Parts: sequence; structure tokens; C-alpha cells
Amino acid sequence: MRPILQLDEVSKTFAVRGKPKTTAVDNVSLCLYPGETLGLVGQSGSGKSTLARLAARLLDPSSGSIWLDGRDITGARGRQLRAVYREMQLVFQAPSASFDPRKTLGDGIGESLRNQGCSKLETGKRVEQLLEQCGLEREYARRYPHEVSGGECQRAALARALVGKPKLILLDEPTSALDVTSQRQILDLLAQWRDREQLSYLLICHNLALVEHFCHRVLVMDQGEIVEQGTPEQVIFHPASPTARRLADAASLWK
Amino acid sequence: MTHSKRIPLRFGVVLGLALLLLAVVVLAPQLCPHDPNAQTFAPLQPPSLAHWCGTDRYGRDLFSRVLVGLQTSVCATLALVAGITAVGTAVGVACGYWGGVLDAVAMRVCDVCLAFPGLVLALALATLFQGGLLQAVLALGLVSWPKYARMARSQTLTLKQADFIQAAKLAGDTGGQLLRRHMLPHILGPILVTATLDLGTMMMELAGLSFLGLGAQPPTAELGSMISGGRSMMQTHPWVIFAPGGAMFVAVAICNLVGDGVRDYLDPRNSGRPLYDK
Ligand SMILES: Nc1ncnc2c1ncn2[C@@H]1O[C@H](COP(=O)(O)OP(=O)(O)OP(=O)(O)O)[C@@H](O)[C@H]1O
Ligand SMILES: [Mg+2]
Repeated sequence: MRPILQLDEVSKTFAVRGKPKTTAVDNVSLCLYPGETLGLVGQSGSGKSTLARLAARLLDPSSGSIWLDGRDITGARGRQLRAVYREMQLVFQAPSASFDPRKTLGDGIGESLRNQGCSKLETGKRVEQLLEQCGLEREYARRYPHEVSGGECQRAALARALVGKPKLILLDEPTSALDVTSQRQILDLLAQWRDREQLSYLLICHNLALVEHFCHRVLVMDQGEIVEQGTPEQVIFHPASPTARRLADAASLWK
Repeated sequence: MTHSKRIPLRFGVVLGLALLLLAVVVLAPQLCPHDPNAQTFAPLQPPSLAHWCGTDRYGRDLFSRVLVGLQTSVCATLALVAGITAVGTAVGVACGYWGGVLDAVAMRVCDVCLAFPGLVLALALATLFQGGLLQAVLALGLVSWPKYARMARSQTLTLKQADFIQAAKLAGDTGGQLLRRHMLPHILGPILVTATLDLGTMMMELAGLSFLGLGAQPPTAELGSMISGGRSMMQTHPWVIFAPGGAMFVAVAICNLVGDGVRDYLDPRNSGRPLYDK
């Protein structure tokens, strides 16, 4: 089967003035197949968000190549990139910063539809429908980002990612601002979508129980490198690398 | 729910005054009781019913001249500020957004301009252009736009990194849509505030150039050159200076009040109501 997303030896170094360069992502290769959910775990600062941004072409890799559904999108710009975003979406780690403070949530969610030539009325309907599916009332479409809670904003961010019916969604801690019941709700929704539309997810998540429940495969990242990969059982219950063991141990402390 | 804020009373009053000033400026030729350039054989008359502000040394009606002079000054100032705001913002946003050679060149030009005290450089340029109101506006404009370019550029650079701009890219916005929908609305607020706060200063600097004979040339009625012309008669016939000086004072004060009001009104830290309305 052809992977929907493939990264080939992708690296990213940041040059910060006055400091030595940091390698946020170091020679990472990964494959994500249609309908699959790939978990990405690792400590803070291990480069997970950077990897997601690289995959979404919001950052240019220092080296390596990125493939979407068999097409090399490493150098995609302008029109090509806009075509890429109809198939791939990213849910940002900080949901409230990912909405324009001067625009309503409805405007933000519907923007991609409007850009594709959807009428205002049609867009409005679709936005409200999606908001309801994500567990928000219709009137949230008219609210501004500062008028909703972090969790509500996260739901809106999910609605925005789903609105254009992409094939692949990169989820950067999509449930971090939600309480446990809402987490469950959102994940059920994502699972429903996954099964119905053959959606693929790259799920960045700190909650190992959730990863175990939801992901088909898990990657463990440490200091920009993939140090281990396997099924959730392998990685969480029989970790091979010290990083994965530390993560699993820390998680079991709370059990 | 809505984003519009109530306009507080004090800002309302200031806005009213500004509108009044604008009305006077627009209607100046109609409001003049006398022809501002007509010379009579009654020079240096003190204020009277016929000549509310007296007459100058050529017997011209000072009230009419002040009205027309105000029109000249205010219009020149508005044109100047509008020009530097537009040019500065355009250059700054382009530099911040696209970067590269354009950015490097434009920012070095700004560095040079900002290294000199503005008025001194403007003086030199105005001298080079050999006087005239348009030349004075041009000289001041050439030295003043970099401030706006700098502001717009740094705002654009910060905004470019913002998550919501990245999100707009993911929504399929083209570069132009990104600028128009998500960047300019954020950049324009602070720029607009600076522009209104600059109105008073610019009016003073324009009048200053005219005062030195580098701006409006006689017989054009302009506040700066009128003050300059009446300088030698300040002791004996003070109204010759008081009339244009007073008008200048009022106009600049209104501009500054509007600037302060706009700043408070648009201040993001006070998204409820302006600070002075507590
Ligand atoms: N724009 C940038 N400039 C310089 N360094 C950066 C930049 N973005 C990220 N980094 C660095 O790259 C490393 C990885 O950051 P990243 O945000 O990918 O971590 P993360 O795994 O998502 O962490 P978290 O779990 O806290 O979200 C960090 O050390 C960070 O300081
Ligand atoms: Mg992160």
C-alpha cells in the first residue's frame, strides 16, 4: 500500500543568533498509511511539534524530503501547497493562538471552504453542522477566540481541520485542554471519522493510555530522533529504549 | 459579542472638535468675510468689528487669512501624514513579508534616515528643493516615512510567525489574502495611532519650515509664514502674530487630543472601554 505521508531522512536545525544551532528534528523517516493512526510521543522539547510543522510544510526542512500520497511536496509552494492543504490539515498545539483574534470562530472554520468557492450560506451551514458534531452549540460560530474556553477552542480547531474533508490530519496534542470525558468524546469522534472516511492521523499526545487505546503504531522521539517504534503494547509495556522506558514508567506512576 | 466599542464622552467631544476644525478647513473660502489677499489702505489695524483679528501690514484681513492659512496648513499636513503612512506601511509590510534584497536595501535607507534628527534632514532637503509648500511636504515626507516602515516591518515579522497566520495558510489563503484578511487589520491599528499622534508634530514641522522661508511662499496664506512675517511687529502689533499663532495652537491641540483618544480607543489592553473613562 502507498503511504499517505512519508518523511525521508528529514532534519531541521534552527539557527538562533548568539547560540549554537539546535537540531530539533534529526534524520527522521516515517511512513503513515491510509486509515492508520500513528502516535508520536516524547518529552517536551523532543521535536514533536517541529516534526508536525515540517510535515505540513509550514517549516522548510534543512534536509530530507516529504511525500504526500506519492507526490514529493518538499518544494511545493503557492498553488501546489494549497492543493496539499486540501488533503492534509494540522491541529495546532495552542488552539486559541491558532484563530485570528479579529475573526469569529465561524469565519476561521469556514475560511477554507470560502477559499474553495463555497457560498456564504452553504459554508455557514456546514460550519454549524461541524460545530455540533464536535460538541459545540451553533452560536459558537459567531464568537471570537477570546470569548471561548481553551477546551471549546480546541473543539473548534478540530472542526476547522475536518471541514475540508482532508485525508490526513496532524494532531498536535488535540486533547490537552480537555477534561477526561471530553477527551473521550473527541477521540470517539475522530475514530468515527477515521473509520468512515479512511482518515489517517498523526497523533502527538502525552497521555499514554490514550495512545494505547487509539493508535495503531507508536513512535517515540527523543532529542529530535526516533528512538523506538512499534505497536502501543510493545512500546508501552515492553519498552526497549531508555526513553520509552522512562515515559512508560512515569505514566505507570499514576496508575 | 460585537467588536465595536462605545465611544466615551471625552473622545466624543474631541472628535466633535476635530470635525468642526475639518468643517472650517473645508469651508474656509466661504467663511472668509474678506478676500484674504486683497490689500487695503488700512494696514496694521487692531481687531475690530470689521476685521475680527485686525489687519496685517499690507492691510489684508487677518481673520480671512488665518482661515485660508489654516486650510493650507491642515490640508498639507493631512496629505503629508497620509503619504508617509501609506508609503511607510507598504514598504514595511513588503520588507517584512518577502524579506531578501528588498528588505536589506530598504532597511539601510531607513537606518540612514533615522540616524539624522528628522527636522534637520528635512531642512537640508527643503533647502535643496529651494522652498515651496509642496517641496516642504516632500522634504518632510522623505525623512518621515522610515518610522512607519520600521513599525510595519517589525509587526509583519512577528505576525508572520503567529499560529493563526499559519492556520490561514492551511485554509488555503494566497499571499494576498493572508495580507489583506489577517495581517493588515492587525498592523493598521498601531500605525493609525502613530499617524494621528504625528498629525500635530507634522503640522508644527511644516509651519516651522514655512517660518524659515522654506515652505509656503508669500503671498500664499499659511500659518507658519504668517507668523514669520509678523515677527518683527510682535511688540507693537501683537495681533499680527496672535491670530495665526492661536489658530496653530488650537489646530495642533485638537490633533494631539484626537491622537491620544484614538490610541486609548484602539489599545488592545483595554478591550472594554478607553482607559480615561473609568
Ligand atoms: N522557531 C524555533 N527557533 C529555534 N528553536 C526552536 C524553534 N522551534 C522549536 N525550537 C526548538 O526545537 C526543539 C523542539 O521543539 P518542539 O516544539 O518541536 O518540541 P515538542 O516536542 O513539541 O515539545 P512539547 O511537548 O513541549 O510541545 C526545542 O528545543 C525548541 O526549543
Ligand atoms: Mg509541541
